[in-house]
Amino acid sequence: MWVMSMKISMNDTGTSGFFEELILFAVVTILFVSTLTMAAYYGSTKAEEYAKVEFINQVYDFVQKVRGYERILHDSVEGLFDYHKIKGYNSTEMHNLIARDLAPSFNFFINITDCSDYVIKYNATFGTPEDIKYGYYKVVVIYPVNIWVNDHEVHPAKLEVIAWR
Amino acid sequence: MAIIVYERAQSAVVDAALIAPILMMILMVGYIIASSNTNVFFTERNEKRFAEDLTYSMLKSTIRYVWYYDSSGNLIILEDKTIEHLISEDLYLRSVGGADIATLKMGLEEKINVTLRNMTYPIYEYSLHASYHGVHFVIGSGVLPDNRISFTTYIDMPQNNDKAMITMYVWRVR
Repeated sequence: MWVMSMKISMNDTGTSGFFEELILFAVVTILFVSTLTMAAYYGSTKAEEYAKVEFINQVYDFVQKVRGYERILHDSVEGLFDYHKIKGYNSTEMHNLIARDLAPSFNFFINITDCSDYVIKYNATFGTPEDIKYGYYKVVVIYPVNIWVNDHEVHPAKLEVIAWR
Repeated sequence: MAIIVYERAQSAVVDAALIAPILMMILMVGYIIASSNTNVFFTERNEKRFAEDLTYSMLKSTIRYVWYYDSSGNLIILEDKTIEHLISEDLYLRSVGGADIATLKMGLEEKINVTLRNMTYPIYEYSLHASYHGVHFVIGSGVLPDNRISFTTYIDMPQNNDKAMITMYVWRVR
């Protein structure tokens, strides 16, 4: 018969055995899985970092907008807050006005600290940081500003913005 | 008679030798990208702006009073003067020898130093350099780190209608 006349042979020269190949297969598989895992990890770490940097930049941009917030400026000079305009609003009113006019995409609390050597200090706060503990990201930016009291008194001050989302 | 021969000359060793270096290279590239610091570019932009705004805010600020002794030994008290005015006064007095330098440092420059410290604490450290025709003084840290941001501007010298140079160096400490 034809089937009976067929001869099957195998040339095994230079090949490894089944168990050696199994070990190599395991090594390559582990490397492959490690690569995928690390790529996923690096990717998520990088995405997280970019999100944080993006948030920091948004807060810095917001700080610049607050420094130029016309409602509290003296003579429209950026960073020169008019004490007499600030004291016309209470803390919550001013917070709500800033939130409405500047529309930040995060929660915020503003603290203006008079750091002059004058006896009378003109500090101000806008809002309350009560639900800050629920924030996933929290950024604090401190920025130099001035408080105009009169033409002879311009106090150096710190604008502190605490932002969270 | 049909003869079928299976050739198995290439083993998994070759596959492994080809794939493993490629995977290792992918891992290394991923590590290098992940460990690069993306914050640097963005915060540098923000800190350049900070240095500029700090300089102008400082120059606009007034100090309740400063004092020094002039070259004749008289106590001079200046009230409610802007820091811009005080720096120009200091440089002018130094250039003409019109004041006791030690008292300028104590009664005038130290007040500017305290103001700057209050405006920057606790995030930044600073060093303010003022110079005018070879006269020079520094307020704040005398040692500048490599990683710093600077901003330079010129202020008027009302005493002689000239200009003095102000350079503010700032760097993050937190």
